[in-house]
Amino acid sequence: MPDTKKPVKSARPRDLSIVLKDAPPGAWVALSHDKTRIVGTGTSIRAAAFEAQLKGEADPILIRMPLEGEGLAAGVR
Amino acid sequence: MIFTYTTAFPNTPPRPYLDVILRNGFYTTNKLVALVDSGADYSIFPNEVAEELRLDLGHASSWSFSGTTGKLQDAKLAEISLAVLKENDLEHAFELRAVCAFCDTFRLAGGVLLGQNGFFSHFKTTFYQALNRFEIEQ
Repeated sequence: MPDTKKPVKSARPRDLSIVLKDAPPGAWVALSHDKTRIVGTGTSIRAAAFEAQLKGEADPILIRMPLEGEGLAAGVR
Repeated sequence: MIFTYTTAFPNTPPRPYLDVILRNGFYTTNKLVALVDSGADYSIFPNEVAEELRLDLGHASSWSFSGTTGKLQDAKLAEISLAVLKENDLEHAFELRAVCAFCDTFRLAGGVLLGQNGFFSHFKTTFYQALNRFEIEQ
């Protein structure tokens, strides 16, 4: 049977690095629902989400910043 | 379903991230940005996610794991519902029951991991790294 699957097209990566460029290293960051603004930061998810709520963002998206210059080699078992 | 790689932080390469929501009964988390990591045996979250979900980890199975330093870390395993969001962040792409690990010393850049048991085990996952895309099929 022929493979009818469409070929995967190349894409530009989605970019959060501009929004996150001034976020504190190591912090949890709450982004606005459209990921265009930082609406909260904190040492925990709860703290960052709470600040977002205070700023009127009911649906934040949470991410943790790396430490300064920290890369990833994340295999864990 | 095809997803696009994300450059999450300045001076880091694009990586395969998904936005996820965890649920335990009536309790749900905020949306979390999660790294799709085939090197992790389980999906791993900080303990505060378990607290948010009111998970009782008192009698949960323990799991020890190590990263690149070889230093052991302890986690507890619990089954939750995991929703993977579409790129519009509005609709669910997939929802599944998954055993995940919760660890109070877990401090990953990015925040949380989606690993082999409970994530990759549910899907066929294909990485098109040169195209900045990855595909998840159920």
